[in-house]
Amino acid sequence: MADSPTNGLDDVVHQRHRLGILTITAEADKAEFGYLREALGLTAGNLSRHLTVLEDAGLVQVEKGYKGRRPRTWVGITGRGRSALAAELDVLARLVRQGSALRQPPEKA
Amino acid sequence: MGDVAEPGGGADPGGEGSEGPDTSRSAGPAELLGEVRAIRRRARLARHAYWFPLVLFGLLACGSVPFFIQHFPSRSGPVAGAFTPGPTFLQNGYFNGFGLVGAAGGLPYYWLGAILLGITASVFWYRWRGNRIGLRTPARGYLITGLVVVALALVIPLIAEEVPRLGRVFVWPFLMPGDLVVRGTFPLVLIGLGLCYLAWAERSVGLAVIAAVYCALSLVASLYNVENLYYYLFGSGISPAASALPNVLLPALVLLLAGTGAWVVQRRQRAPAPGD
Repeated sequence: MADSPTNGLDDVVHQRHRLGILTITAEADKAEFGYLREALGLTAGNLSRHLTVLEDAGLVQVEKGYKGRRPRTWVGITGRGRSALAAELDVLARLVRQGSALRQPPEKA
Repeated sequence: MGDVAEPGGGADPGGEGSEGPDTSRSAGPAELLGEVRAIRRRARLARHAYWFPLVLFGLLACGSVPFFIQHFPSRSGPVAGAFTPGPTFLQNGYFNGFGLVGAAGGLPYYWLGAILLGITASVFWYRWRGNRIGLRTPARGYLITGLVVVALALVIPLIAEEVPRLGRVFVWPFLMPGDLVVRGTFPLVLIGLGLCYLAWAERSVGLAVIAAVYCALSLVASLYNVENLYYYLFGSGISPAASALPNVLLPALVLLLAGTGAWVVQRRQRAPAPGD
């Protein structure tokens, strides 16, 4: 199964929450930590760990700043992150198509 | 490298960190794709804030009305086109048209100032709102696009002015299509180009539709005397002094109505901002 679509899955990206982070950051210039946490229903600790994995892989950039005295963390997707997200979505779409094809009843002769 | 910890974020009470149970393994590709689409849709809805530039540019277009009121002398006599001091490319350029007869001068300066103000205020609006909801729209691209369009609108008439002197008269109609710029309403088309960019930046089908309708109307306003439509619809003309106003007010009204409608819709759809 050398050409199986699953070979194209990236372990870093192929995770529900990390996929969600990349999807949101791809939609915006920057997403704030609090928005990501609420949108994905994660705890701060969970989100922090997922962000670290993505940042280590070079898929997102994390900037820390302040709004007044309140610390704010902004997350932006990198070019590599966009490519990884596009590749993941492409693989998922191919898997869905393949699954639909397998579920089709065989044609009668 | 350390964790990306949000100050005050605390520990991970659920224990579902990046190396914890991978919930995606149990989710099928169709389910994951469905979740991605839902997240994307929510992010786009949260980001939509185009009511502000629509209302702002609608008001700025209305602000040009005094420059389109024409004062004709009661007795027959020579009536001059609006005179605006300054370089020729402003007097006969994209921002002034060819000088509306009997109108006050200064229209190109108004349009130039209004468009620059509109672009700057819109960029600040998107920046402020992005900080508030925690999701920033890429407004830098809008700023750059807007400034490039304004610069081109200033430079092209200048080139058009010089080209005939270079002996290439055939280029003139393409650079300064008189039918399109004669009425001094071409800046409304430039505003439409900016709205098209915003529709792309916001990934908004709604704004794309509004921008398309507005662009079509602003082209009509630049190419046709809208006063004629008023006559066909209501059977009577408009006072000569106000005969040029429908060309400005029709596109402005569309912007104001669309902006108000978008404000109502976006207010209903708006997700609560973090910390609200």
